[in-house]
Amino acid sequence: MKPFYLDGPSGRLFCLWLGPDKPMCSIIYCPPFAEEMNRCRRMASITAMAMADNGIGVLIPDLYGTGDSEGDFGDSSWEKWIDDIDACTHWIQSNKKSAEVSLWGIRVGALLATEVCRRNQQISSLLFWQPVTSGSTAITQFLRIKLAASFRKIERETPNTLRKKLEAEKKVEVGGYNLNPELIIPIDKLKMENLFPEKKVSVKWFDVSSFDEDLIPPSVKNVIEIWEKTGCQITYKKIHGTTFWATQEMTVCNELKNKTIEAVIQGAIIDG
Amino acid sequence: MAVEKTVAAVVINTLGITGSRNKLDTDSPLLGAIPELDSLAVVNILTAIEEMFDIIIDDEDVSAELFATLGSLSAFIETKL
Repeated sequence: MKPFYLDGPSGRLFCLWLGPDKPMCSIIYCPPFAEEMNRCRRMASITAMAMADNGIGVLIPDLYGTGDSEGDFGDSSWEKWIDDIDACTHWIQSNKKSAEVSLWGIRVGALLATEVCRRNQQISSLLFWQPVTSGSTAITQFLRIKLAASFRKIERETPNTLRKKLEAEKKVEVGGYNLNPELIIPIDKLKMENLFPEKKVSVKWFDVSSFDEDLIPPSVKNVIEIWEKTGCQITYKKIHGTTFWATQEMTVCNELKNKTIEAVIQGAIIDG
Repeated sequence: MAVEKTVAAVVINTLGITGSRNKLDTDSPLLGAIPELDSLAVVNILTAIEEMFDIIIDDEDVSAELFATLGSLSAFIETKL
């Protein structure tokens, strides 16, 4: 495991590289948003370590204004994050001689991965974990922290009043995060169904449910149908396990880790 | 009843409640009675429910009363299905 700082377009990015110097393929981790980012760290790192043991190179960056990277969260923007991941793909291409670079997005990170994939012709495969299919749903879910905290107050701060406040005052604090409209407004407008990559992309899509049911939610089905029409090849799998990005305590889902590694190795053999 | 069972499981899983406390019935009090249920946990439960049932909950409907008991939460979810 090699920690280092990558010169990102907005500031230095703290990164971890796991895997051999000449990996059979490489994958860049696109983290989820805010608290979910923290809750996913353990799952991401144990999966990255297992990938590295199997000859896959993994780059885990802290996006601008998060973790140990430069900048404050309040100064981060969606465009900066897209550029950060893009800079990571260039770093792999010039330092690891890895032709095949995939993006691994969890939750809002899947929207980020998709945005980069649309702009960067080198990316031809995506790995999703419980991707957020509607940016506005994800932002609403996040802004509700303030609503839940104002239950007992006379003046309720709902996600919609916070959105208006953010537009008017250009900043809002929620759950200890200073939000920048340049980060929140773009995410709020994203819909996975409209983000189809317009090229042939292989997508490995994993959802996790703590219930033993194999149903694909209609919102997910809709995205898959639209993406497939534009030439994407999607493998969807539902894993039975703990919803680790949402639990109060740090939890892991080993089944997801194992199935992910199988899929990535299989993809590397077929695509590579 | 199926909805209530699912909602109970979502609450228990999200909060990570183990042992003798992981049995909830219609009258089980939630907000104020379960120490793990803070504002972040309320949000997590709403998120998990929205994803589980593929529904969108209107924020105007989100209140402390909604989280009074398992029964009040489940009855609300049923109206959204």
